[in-house]
Amino acid sequence: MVRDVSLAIREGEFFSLLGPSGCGKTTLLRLLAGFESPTSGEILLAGSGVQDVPARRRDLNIVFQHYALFPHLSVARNVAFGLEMQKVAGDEIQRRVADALALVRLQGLGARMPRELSGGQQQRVALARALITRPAVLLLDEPLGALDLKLRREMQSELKALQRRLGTTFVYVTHDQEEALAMSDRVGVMHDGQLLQVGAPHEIYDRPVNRFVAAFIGESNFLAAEVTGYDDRDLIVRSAGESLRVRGERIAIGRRVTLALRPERLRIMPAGDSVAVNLLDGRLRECVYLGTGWRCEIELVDGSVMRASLPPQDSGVLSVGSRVMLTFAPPDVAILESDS
Amino acid sequence: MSGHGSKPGTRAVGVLVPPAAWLTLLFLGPLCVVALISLMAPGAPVEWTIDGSAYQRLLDPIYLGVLWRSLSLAVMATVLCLVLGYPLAYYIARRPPRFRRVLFFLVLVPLWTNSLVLIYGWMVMLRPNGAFDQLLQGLGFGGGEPLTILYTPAAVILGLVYWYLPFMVYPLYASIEKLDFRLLEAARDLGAGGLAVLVRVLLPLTLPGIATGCLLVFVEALGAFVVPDLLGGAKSMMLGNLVQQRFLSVPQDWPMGAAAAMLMLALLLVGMLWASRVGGLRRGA
Repeated sequence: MVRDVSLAIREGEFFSLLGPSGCGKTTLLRLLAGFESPTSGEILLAGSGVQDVPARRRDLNIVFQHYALFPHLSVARNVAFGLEMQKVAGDEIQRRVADALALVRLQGLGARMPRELSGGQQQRVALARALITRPAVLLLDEPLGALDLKLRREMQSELKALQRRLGTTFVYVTHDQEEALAMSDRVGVMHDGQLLQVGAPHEIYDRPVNRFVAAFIGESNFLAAEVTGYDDRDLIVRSAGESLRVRGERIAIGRRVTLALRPERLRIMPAGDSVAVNLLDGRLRECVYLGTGWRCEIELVDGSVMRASLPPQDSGVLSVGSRVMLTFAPPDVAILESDS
Repeated sequence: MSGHGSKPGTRAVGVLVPPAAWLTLLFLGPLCVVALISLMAPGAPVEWTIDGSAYQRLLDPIYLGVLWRSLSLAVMATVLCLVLGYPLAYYIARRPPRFRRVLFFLVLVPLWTNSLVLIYGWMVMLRPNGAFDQLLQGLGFGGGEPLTILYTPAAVILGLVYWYLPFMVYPLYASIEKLDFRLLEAARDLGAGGLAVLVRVLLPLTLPGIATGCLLVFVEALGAFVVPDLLGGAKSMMLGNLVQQRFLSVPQDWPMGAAAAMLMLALLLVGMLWASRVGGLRRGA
């Protein structure tokens, strides 16, 4: 399920493991938690190997996907469970349970049973239960997956604020790229059991290492290209019959590459206007108004279709069927190895 | 649906008439007859005048001994079934689904085999110089003495546990299978050791299955008469044997047998009340 993953998560950071379902992110989380053992390799927690330490002795707690609250115990008893296992004194447990419930804004609900709470409230109980023993690391397995969109957004910012306040390292598993980008200090993108890229959200978004990352995080247009030269700043590549300038590391002349272009980094200009560099001829095939802007499809001369997102004021050139030029700035392109 | 008013309800009542009649005629009727007989004066087999002396005679130390033995053997068999059945049910419930069905079928096989054949099989195995004895001697246990387990309470418990284990495993399996096993992981994650996981999470959440299983085995074991009759001998008489004897063997004493049967029924009702309390408390969970 998980192969050749080498990953260092920093103390106090909000780290997300992002990938489609079945990519191995949950397996990786379960390895960290101690529910699975690696066939080879090491897991270090604060510098010492924990692969032989059972789950119950690891200084990290997990928030399960569907919360896994004990249905026969009240909210307070659920939250107290970890402390009771550590044989903490009764009055201290009471005090810390009250604190933990306050932390997740569930004051006064301690006597309720889990089934009497809404999904969002159950989520908070799971959070309080996992945080009460003050673990070094909190593992979260798609904790917001069962909530509706509005509640999700609320919980996202709440979780992020909580993490900042506590300074606990969060390892957050999700398949929602928007969620990962919005919450994380760093993101690890997984696919097929492998960790493809690790980086800050803007690095992942602007400089994806391969076609999978470029397509999974946000949306990308892909253009096949061949390197024809370079100058001191840019590579010159040939694609769709045009010579284009893109910014990136030097690559041997003649190499085939793939260019990844974000829809919102593309601009549309009237045909015949030839001031800018990087002009691609095309025909405006479709344009839809989305409120936040326009979403257009442009068919290039070689038949490939590019998607562009335009700000709402850019409606001047948008007559469907007309000939247009697509353009983009050299730094706005990610250059990918062609085989990936 | 609501437009049809009480129609579905009426039809449901109609459907209930045959089984209700069946139960009344064939269950409640005989029960009333037995209750009535239990109140009659002793005779051979019965004197049709009400005196209630049969209950008084049940207080005789000999019969109280039978009662005590029945209760203790039934309780021990129930506890042993639980101790053996729980790990078994847990193991089966955690196999992949297709193995579960096969394993579960294997547990049920003894139920589908002729019970006399099974009991005679046990007799052959348990008797002195039987298979069991030879095995123990071969392993160096027993000190050369022939095995004397047959016709003892121990043999009765062995037989009861063997016979009624499926009654324990089935409800346990049903409630363990429904369990969300991530709850056990959650407990471990929060620092619970094996015993704490068992006592704090696993047992409370499978309590309905435990209560049902215990009730089924206890009810069956308390009323057993074939097993104690064949494996236990005279010293291991249980309530079921007492009832059977007073009705069928000379000297017959129907009121005595009926009174013993009513006592057994009362004990079973207490057991059922307890089980529904324990099982019902957690139903919402």
